Amino acid sequence: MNKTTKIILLVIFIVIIILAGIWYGEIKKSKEKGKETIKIGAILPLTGNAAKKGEYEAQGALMAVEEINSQGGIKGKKIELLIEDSGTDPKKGISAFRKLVEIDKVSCLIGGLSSVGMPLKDLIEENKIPTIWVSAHPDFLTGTKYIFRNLPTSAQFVEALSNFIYQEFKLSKIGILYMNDDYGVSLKDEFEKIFPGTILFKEQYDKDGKDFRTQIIKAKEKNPEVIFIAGYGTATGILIKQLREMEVDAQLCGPIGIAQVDTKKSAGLAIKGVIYPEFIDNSKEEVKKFKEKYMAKYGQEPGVDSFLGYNSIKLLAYAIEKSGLDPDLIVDTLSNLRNFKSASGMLNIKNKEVRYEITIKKIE
Amino acid sequence: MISGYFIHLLILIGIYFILAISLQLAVGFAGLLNLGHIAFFCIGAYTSALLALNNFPFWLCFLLAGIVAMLFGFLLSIPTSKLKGDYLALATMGFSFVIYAVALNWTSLTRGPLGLPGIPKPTLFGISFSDNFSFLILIAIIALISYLIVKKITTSPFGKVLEAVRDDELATKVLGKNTFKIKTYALGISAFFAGIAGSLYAHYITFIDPSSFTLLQLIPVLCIVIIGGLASLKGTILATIILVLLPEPLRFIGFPSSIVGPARQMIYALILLLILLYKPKGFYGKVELE
Repeated sequence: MNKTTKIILLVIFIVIIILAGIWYGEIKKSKEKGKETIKIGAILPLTGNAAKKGEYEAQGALMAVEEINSQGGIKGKKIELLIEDSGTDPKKGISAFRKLVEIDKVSCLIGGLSSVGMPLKDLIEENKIPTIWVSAHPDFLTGTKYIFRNLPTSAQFVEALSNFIYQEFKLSKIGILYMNDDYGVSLKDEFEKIFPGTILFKEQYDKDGKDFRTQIIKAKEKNPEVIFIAGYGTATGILIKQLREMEVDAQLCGPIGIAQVDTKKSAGLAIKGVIYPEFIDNSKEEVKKFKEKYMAKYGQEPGVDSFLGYNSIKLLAYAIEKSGLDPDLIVDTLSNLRNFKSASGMLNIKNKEVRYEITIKKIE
Repeated sequence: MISGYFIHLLILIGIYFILAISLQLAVGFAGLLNLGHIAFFCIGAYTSALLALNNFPFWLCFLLAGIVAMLFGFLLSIPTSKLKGDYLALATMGFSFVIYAVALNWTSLTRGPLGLPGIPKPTLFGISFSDNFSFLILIAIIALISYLIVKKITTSPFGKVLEAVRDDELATKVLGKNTFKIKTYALGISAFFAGIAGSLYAHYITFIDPSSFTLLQLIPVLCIVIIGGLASLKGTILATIILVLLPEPLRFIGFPSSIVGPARQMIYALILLLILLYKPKGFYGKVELE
């Protein structure tokens, strides 16, 4: 055999694999043709650096599908969840979308990750696929009709926090220490916009910094009642520790990221008493029940995305049950949804955003 | 029905092909193991996107994407001119990290991790390429022109000198050739094509953020170049088609949903390994890098 024959053989071999794959898929499909199903597609990052998020969301979604199907499906029709991997890559996301919509003909879509979701926006609108996506990108819902956001935005968190401080604590003199990245800056901007009291100072601190005494001395001079720390991670923990060391006794509060393990670790005991907003309340009955079921099924604690994936499917199933498969009707039903019972408590949909009940928690 | 899906794949083949032949020019023909290639792609995409969002016409965005990337190619060749092989690979890899960090942190220009949404689809001479089929035709034409230009370069006397530099730089110098200049040109031209591929990518996907331009994104392109065979354009075409299409049928194999992502990747990797096992120089590879 010379070189060319070998290459030709190799190409033939690959083509055979490809054809076999398609053939197998077709057979599988025709087998299932007997029973009609409602197809929901999921585009999730199952590989790549957000793989854990994708895994959580997929498991949550699958659990919801199983639950619905074991109760007889939607009006006798079973739900079929078709999961595609986006690998956190927008190109692969589009391939997955095309495959799901054009070949599998899914009627609804769920998914996660902003970088994959953003390029899909136009395609979703064009094909009229009701979609529930986990994304915090501020531009995600501009100019869309069929897309819903299933994640509280930083604006919603900040709103809840600022209301709590102003109304419950009745404190109005506040200072802001914010981290110098997009997370910190956007939180600071939102807070400035929303908070009704007076903001005494805004000081920036470095994401990788270790010594924040300059900022703390400045903060101390202004004597605030509350300090809003817009950040997360180790540096934020060190900042909290140094604040307490330098005897700043203002009430501290922060975003959801402040309750992360690494922040807690580096802050040590100083983190006690810091308040932060949370949208999955561990003390609720529904959440406890969901956690138990999840543990029994997958042998691991659910992540935030497990709740989101589960809720996405439940919301879609509810809408399909109520209004059939017409995309416009599904969107109408979802848009006006109030007091929906989900795995994380009651939720409403307002302006195409799934609104979770945000509760303010104190770190013990 | 299948056509939309298929057209999308063909467009991806087109973009990858331009990117791969431009890398082939640097790696295969000039022997410059350039791991910073994705940075040129990134520069092209951002240049084109930012200009288009400021209402510049597509042809200008497209050309400037290539030209700006080319300037960076020239720039990169100056500090790396004395480096070879793995050292060059490391230095150029550093370059790709720098560009990634700039895209991520220069928030006033690139909007950082929020990315640039709403990049318009191209219009050229009054013709809109907004639907996928016309976009495919545009890409096919550009890919063909790119191929012809690269082919012309590699078969020209300049191409021969380029290959001489790859095989024995010292000997080429002895013959009185300015190898620094030749390598600079090679890197510049290579960057130009990467830049226009970036421009097409940005206008096709309509949204870019820095995460699309990490070193990880270079690996499939490098795979295409190596599997197709170094210094072979024919091989690059074949490898592009195979590598872009290969993961797709795997979507139709009904894996249990718990392992669907990793299982597909494993099969994909296995096939690549088999190819390299039986064809260590790639399909049509002529040379091996030191």
